[in-house]
Amino acid sequence: MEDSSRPSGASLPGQAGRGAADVTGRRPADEAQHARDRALVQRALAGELDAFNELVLHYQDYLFAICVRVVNDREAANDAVQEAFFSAYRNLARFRGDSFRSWLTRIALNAATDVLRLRKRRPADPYPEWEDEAWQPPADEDDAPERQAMRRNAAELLRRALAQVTPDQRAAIVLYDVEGYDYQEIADMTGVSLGTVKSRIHRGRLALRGLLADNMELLRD
Amino acid sequence: MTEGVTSGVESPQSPADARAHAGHDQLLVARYAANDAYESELDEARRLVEGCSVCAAVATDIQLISRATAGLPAPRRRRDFRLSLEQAEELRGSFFERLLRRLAAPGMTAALRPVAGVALSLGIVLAIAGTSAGLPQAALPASAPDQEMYALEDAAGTPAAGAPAGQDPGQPAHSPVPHAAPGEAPALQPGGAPGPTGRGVTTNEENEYRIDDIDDGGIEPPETADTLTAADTGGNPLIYAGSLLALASLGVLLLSWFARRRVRDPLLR
Repeated sequence: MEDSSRPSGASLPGQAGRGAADVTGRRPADEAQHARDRALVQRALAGELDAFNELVLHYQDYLFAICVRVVNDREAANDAVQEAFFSAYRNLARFRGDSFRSWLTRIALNAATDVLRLRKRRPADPYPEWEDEAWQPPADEDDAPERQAMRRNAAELLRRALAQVTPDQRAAIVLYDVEGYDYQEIADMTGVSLGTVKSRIHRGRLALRGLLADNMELLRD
Repeated sequence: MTEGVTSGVESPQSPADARAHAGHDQLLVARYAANDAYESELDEARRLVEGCSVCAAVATDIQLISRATAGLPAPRRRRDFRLSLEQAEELRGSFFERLLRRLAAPGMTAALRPVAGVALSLGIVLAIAGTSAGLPQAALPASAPDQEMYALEDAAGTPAAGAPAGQDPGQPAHSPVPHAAPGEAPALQPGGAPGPTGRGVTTNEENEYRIDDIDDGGIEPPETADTLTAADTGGNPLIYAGSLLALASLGVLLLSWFARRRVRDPLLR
């Protein structure tokens, strides 16, 4: 998606001449997806539970990935996603936007924020499932075991660092860098201004850089 | 901020470099690294990145972190979040809850509130108009005794007490003296002094004269506006329609407000 909210910038040595957003790969606006979602919403509103469950099938992985990164806990993320789908089902008639995905994301982010607020404190280990294979990057068969180990190490370090920035910064970074939303979409989803979104992302990255300063070499590989 | 933090691949910075870097705007460097600096900041950002090895390292690291974050593997979900029939039924709620939810829907609220507001205003206007329409009818019979009194006084060749100066006594006019309740003497200004309007003098004698007339049956006791209004407006359809419309609109507005409060979902904030 073309990010019109981004001012023109300069290219640094080694930079592809495009913003970080493009580095991460913006997905094009998917009108077909919007149309499909709207049709499913209409059917669900008419009383077809299967239609809503089809929407759940489309988005449960996506929502879980966002929530688990924001709350840093699998069970809490499960609860947040469950609450998000419950809320979406209850309030389906209130969906008026163009993108069901964005609407659902906003609900899930609110649910995740509520979970964080309820917990009040971080768990001693923000990632109690470090050894869980589900968290590990997929191994390339051609990779040497040492290289695989390094990649896992880097991913773990980055996740640990992400868990230490503020929840607002974390959510903004996840939505921007991982999910590929543009600033305006994130602003709409999180209910803050465009400037606040940019500030959260840039400050969050600076904070990550401070946390990873001794291990930047791992990320370079 | 991460001032003073060196990148793992940068050459060790000299103390002079570190001192110079301490005042550099790292947020600007981060924005520049993400191609997010404004035109007005570009020169300054370029100067920092090209002139300071630490700022250059920060910019490179920011890009690296952005790429690495994007490449983080997604944790796998283990629960299926599809709704069961029982869950769906429970979430749908009772008929009343579904009605409230429909009323609280943004589209419905957006349409309902202005319409109900206009209907409420219209109802109030109609009710007031209906009431006002009844009042002149009530006022007219109340002035009849005055007219009869003027006629009596014309016959006697004297101007009626309380008649405005220069006014034809034969013309109907509202008496400056307030009407009394049936069977009571008309109210007078204290001591027969000129009333606040200064339109005439009423004496006790004249008052007695009028009372005598009334007692003799020459003049009917004046009916009060209150009694007439109640009688005349009792069947005014405007008042009924207006009141009904206003009440119905108010009911709809209250129901809409209640629905919004009742079904408000904190996750839709």
